[in-house]
Amino acid sequence: MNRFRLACQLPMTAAETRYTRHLIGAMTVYIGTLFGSIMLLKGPAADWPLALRAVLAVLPALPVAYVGKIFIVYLGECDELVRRIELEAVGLSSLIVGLLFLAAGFLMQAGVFSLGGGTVAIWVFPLLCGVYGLTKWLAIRRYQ
Amino acid sequence: MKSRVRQLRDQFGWSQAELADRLEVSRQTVNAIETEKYDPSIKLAFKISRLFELPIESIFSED
Repeated sequence: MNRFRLACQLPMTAAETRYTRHLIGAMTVYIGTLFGSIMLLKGPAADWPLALRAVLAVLPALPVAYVGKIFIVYLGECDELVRRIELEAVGLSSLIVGLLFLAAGFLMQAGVFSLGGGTVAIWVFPLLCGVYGLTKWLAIRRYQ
Repeated sequence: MKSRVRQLRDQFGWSQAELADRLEVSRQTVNAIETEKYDPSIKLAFKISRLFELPIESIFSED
């Protein structure tokens, strides 16, 4: 834990500050569009044409796409060790989440349990973010 | 890879943060190089070599 605390206490670089500021902004917009979209789809937009409902449903994914863009910019700005840590964390978390969903898919095919396709798809990205946090912590520890 | 970066930094009387600023990297990177947990890229190794005015092979060596 001490190592993690040390990493957190390091002053943020300009790239990290910029990335964090944009990330907070994007996630605020995401929460707003997510709740707005759900409320509209369950309320007044229930009778809208399918194409409009589709646009409304996909709207919360736009700020998440923006997070992807700012993450790539951040990777280009940070120094080589930080970039290595980030890429190791992203690579390992993608592998873990991919394997988890592959195993879950096999289990569902075998009839062990059942979940709706929409539920499964929605949880991919949040799980990826959560596991990324864990794998980044592990990568930071390795280089301290 | 063996590194003499800590020894050289001490000789120059710089803190890790000062060296990081001069190399334009994070303090975390300097620390990882000094503790030999991270081998710098060729580009960064050349930068370190120029800063300490020493050839790369006298700063870094194989285990």
